[in-house]
Amino acid sequence: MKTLRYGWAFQALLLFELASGNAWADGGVVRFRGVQGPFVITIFTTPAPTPDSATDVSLLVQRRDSNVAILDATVDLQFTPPALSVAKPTEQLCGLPGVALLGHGATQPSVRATRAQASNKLLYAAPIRFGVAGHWTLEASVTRGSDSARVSCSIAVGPPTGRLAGLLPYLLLPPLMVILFAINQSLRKKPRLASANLPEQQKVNPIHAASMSQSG
Amino acid sequence: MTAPLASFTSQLAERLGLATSQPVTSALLFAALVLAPAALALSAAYVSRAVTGVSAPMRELFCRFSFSLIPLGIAMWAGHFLFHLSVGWSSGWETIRRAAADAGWPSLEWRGGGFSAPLLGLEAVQVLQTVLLDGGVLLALYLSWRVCLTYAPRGRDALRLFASWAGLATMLYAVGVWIILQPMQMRGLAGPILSP
Repeated sequence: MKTLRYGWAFQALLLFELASGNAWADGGVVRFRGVQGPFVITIFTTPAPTPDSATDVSLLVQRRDSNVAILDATVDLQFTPPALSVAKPTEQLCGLPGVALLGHGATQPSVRATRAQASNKLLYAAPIRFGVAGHWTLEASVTRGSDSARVSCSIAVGPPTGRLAGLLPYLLLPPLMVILFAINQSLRKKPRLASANLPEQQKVNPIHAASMSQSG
Repeated sequence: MTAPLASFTSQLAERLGLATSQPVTSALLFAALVLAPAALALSAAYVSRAVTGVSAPMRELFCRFSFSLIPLGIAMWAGHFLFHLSVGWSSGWETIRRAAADAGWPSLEWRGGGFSAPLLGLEAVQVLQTVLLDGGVLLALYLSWRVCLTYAPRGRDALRLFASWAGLATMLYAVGVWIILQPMQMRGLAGPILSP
């Protein structure tokens, strides 16, 4: 009976696991959603953009009157680096191979976001690699026929990940606690051993001994 | 999913000639959620039994000690949830406003505009995640030790029994720390992002 139950549990787990391939968790976060001209524009990015990995920037463009997704617009992205960032000459804002590479000059070419680069074909996407941490400004322009709109939002790019040194004090906590626990256990064991080695007459309950001395 | 894993998944799917990375993701999930934990815990049970000569069946050791690793799993889940809470907390308010507007409270209707920044910086989130993992691994080690004492009251035997399970907990802790140090990848929106 128990084996049968385990079998069912395993099958359920297997089905759950196979279905999880369709669960696209860890999606992007909404950076901006606004009505501009005839469009409703929503901007998504990777949850925590960092300079050491490619960041996905995706846009959903909808009709203002019906919320229907517009699939034939032209979307261009323009990024402005953080005002106070001290950029090295080699640090660049760049897209994937085939996308224009940008420096930190005043005039920057824009990056085209396309549906071809998005797995969700309702969106216009462009993978971007930010050169430096800080608050970048994204200005997105959407054009469709004679209609156009321009929106902007801020993207906070965090410091590079993978900095183990910053976490070192917190990583030392478990070994320290284990050592303290081991010392505690050995100290607690010693009196017990000492007590075990005493002759029977000397094994007196301390509370009992105290009460005896008071009455005496 | 972390960026290295997302990249590995898409590259493997490409190498296998698959149109989508979903089968690879499913296979990796099955390996990570079922095969690897079972294999590691069985190995730890086998080693602890072989080293100490405890007469308890391996299945019993496997079941009792596996439960002691639960705090570590909860800590990892809480750390991951903390990350999503930090980056997505503002969307909760927007959702409430939209629901209220749909329910007939137009004064709360969303008028458009930007969303606020994450609740905590990435560094602060990583510190909190590490502290959560610290608590999880310490509790897991303590519970394992208590279970060891029920099988081997003598300190030296208990330590021998404890070694393999402590090693497993430490390994899972190290994997957890590695995961929180990796950049998170966004799935479902962009196509596979390859390193430039």
